[in-house]
Amino acid sequence: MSRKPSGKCSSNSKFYLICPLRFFRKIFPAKPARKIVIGVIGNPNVGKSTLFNELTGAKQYVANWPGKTVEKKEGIRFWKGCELHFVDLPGTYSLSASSLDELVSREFILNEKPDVIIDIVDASNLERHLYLFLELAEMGARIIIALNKIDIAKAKGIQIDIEKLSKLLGTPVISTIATKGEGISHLCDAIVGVALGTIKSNPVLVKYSKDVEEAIRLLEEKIKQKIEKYPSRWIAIRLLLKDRDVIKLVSKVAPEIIKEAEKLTYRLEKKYGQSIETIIAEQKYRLIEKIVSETVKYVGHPILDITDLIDTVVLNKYLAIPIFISILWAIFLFTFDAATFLVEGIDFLFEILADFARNNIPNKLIASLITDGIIAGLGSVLVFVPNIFFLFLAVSFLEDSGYFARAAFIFDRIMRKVGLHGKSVIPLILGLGCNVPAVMATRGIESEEDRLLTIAVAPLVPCSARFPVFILLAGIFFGKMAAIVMLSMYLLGFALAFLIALIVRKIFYKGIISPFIIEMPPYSKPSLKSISLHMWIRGSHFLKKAGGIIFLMSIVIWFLASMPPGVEFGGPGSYAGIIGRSLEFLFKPLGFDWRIVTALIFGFVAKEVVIDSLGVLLGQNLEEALPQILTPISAYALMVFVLIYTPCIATIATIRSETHSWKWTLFVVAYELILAYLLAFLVVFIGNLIF
Amino acid sequence: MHQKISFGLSITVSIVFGLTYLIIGCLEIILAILGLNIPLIPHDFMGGFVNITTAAIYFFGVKELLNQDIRGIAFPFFGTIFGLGFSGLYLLIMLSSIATKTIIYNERLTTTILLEEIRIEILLLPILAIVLLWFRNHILRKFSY
Repeated sequence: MSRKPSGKCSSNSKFYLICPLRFFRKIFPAKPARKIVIGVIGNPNVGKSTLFNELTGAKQYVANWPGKTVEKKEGIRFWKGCELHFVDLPGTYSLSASSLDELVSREFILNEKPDVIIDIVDASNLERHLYLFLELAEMGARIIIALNKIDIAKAKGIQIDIEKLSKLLGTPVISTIATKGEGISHLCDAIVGVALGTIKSNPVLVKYSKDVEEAIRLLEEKIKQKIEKYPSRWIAIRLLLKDRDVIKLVSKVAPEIIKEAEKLTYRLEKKYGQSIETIIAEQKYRLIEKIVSETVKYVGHPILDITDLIDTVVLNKYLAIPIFISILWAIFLFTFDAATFLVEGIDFLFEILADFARNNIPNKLIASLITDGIIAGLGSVLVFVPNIFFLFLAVSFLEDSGYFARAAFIFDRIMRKVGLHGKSVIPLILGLGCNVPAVMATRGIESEEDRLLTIAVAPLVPCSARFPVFILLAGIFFGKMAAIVMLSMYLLGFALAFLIALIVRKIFYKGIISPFIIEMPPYSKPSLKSISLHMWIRGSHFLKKAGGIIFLMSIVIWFLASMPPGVEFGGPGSYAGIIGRSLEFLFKPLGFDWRIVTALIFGFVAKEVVIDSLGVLLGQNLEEALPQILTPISAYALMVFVLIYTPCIATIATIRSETHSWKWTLFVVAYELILAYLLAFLVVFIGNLIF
Repeated sequence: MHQKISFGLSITVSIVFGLTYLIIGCLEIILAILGLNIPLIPHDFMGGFVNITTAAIYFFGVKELLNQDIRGIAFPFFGTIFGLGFSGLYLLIMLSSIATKTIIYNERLTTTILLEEIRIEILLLPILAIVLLWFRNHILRKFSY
């Protein structure tokens, strides 16, 4: 995570000979580096994660759509004798704490009191981004503005007088191009300067109208006597704005101030004929407009903007959905058909490896463990590595291009019709990779009801762990129709998510869905480096699982399949057989025999384990073994069951930690199990009637 | 400035490619329903759907281009990118399939294998690339950022 400053000596001892300074320091150790804590904040999709990666050398997930930073991330850089400790905060438009994202950022600034806050501002959209700056200023933070995307601003004919901007805002303004790593050293210099006090940062405060200022002053006087920990002006403004968290805080020590604030708010709202939020926001924007008018010039306006051109088509009322389906289809073709060569190649290699182990290991038990356990189990999962990587490559390409935000916009209308929030689209799309970050990404949804609802349905989106199960079964049972069968799983997953949301909304939550605002980032050509990095970060997660839990499960399942001693391997008398047979009666109507049941039980740990278990119980050549115990109809029913039933232990744990409710967690697990069973049964029933 | 844009050529491109994709798309769907195969045009229901979508993208721009509205250029421009993307994808799939047959299954590369794998969209790839270059050099560079 950490990165030494360029030009400094390496810590490698070989360099002592040519680096007397380091040798000297080894004998007379210098004072420990001064630690400077820096909060990195900004509006969603401003390039915050990219800048954070540039500052820390980290490889945090970056994409061209808002809302990927769902929790604090930390990284370190050493600069001019100081240890710069960066904390990447979730992207947010304001700090009103109306969503968990905002709350995380606000609590960090207020409670951790970082030495410096870097507020990343989009140079091509200064007016909107300065709102957050003014909120930070009211919180008493020492701010440095990183004026990012300065290249895009220039390309759009926007000229910014940075010196004047810095003077008007009362804080250092450093221009950066995060994607190219430009301006990073200036930014680090400014951080050290502000933290050590050699560079001043006295952010400008909004001077509200006379009445508002008077109300703030009255409250501030009382607050100062009771609360010292937080800036009194900020508390006063938040009290006027009826901020629930601040009211809770103040009511503990001085309940009389709350009543006073309520009176003042009422008076102001009556006088202005507007809500207090509007009064405060309008006055903030008035100052922003003034600053922007004095510092920004527009030089020439182009006729065509590529982003507008593409949006004209992809957001077209009639074309948007067909284009989206076509793109989804392209992802499937890319992951399923384009990866064929690599998949077949890996399968071929595992066959050679199994033959080699079988013929060359003299000890029968060890040979069985390696061929029937590890190679059969692990091999049946690893063979899908190319598909997984190709899927992530395609998804990363779309993310970096900026299309994901459009997908969210396109589906907002549909989301609302089924009772979900527009912002639910992002967790649902993230779920295609892994359900754990999908559940965590619901933090960006302001309304608790909308959030719980999204959490309940997010696991229905087929994650990458279920992907190998689908590929295997679709490939074996549906031949040339495999890709369409695969697509049907994804469509069914989304359709069920919508249906369940609609039902739960009707039964439990009858409130109004909060409005949806999403920023449309400009389209950009994804760089090969960036999408490869994303592919690797996500794909390596699959590899790690294969090397850890799946490897372990291969051994456990092999043990259960070969014990007690003397039983037929994977036979009905083995422990695995006993487990499977004890529940087989439940799954008979679905056409699943005890081996499938055993695989599904182990699948609770992680979905890849279903294939792993089948590989061990049926032998490596599943293409020949599976058609003997499943028909195409029961294979499709199995796919449906795997699609719907509880994704994995990690997702259950995340749902529990995000909802803080065992009741809700158990509800999700239970409804998914029941729904999986019912739908699989329906598939078998209807399938048998038709075919 | 608007007079410099060749609306006539853009309209021609939209109609020609729109019709081409519409015909190919319909054929692929009909063949998929009938379960038939003919050289260069596979029976591919979803492929047909994609082609009809591409055709629709081209056709949507014609009205605006006829009205000399510069924004109408968005449709043939995006349609070309869209078609080109799918052509590239089909080419990749063809190469992967041929590599599997010849390298892993040790089959000899014959004209029959090639004809089995190639599809008409791949043949459109070079033409689409030229059209995209024309859009880039003659329209976008002059009138965009």
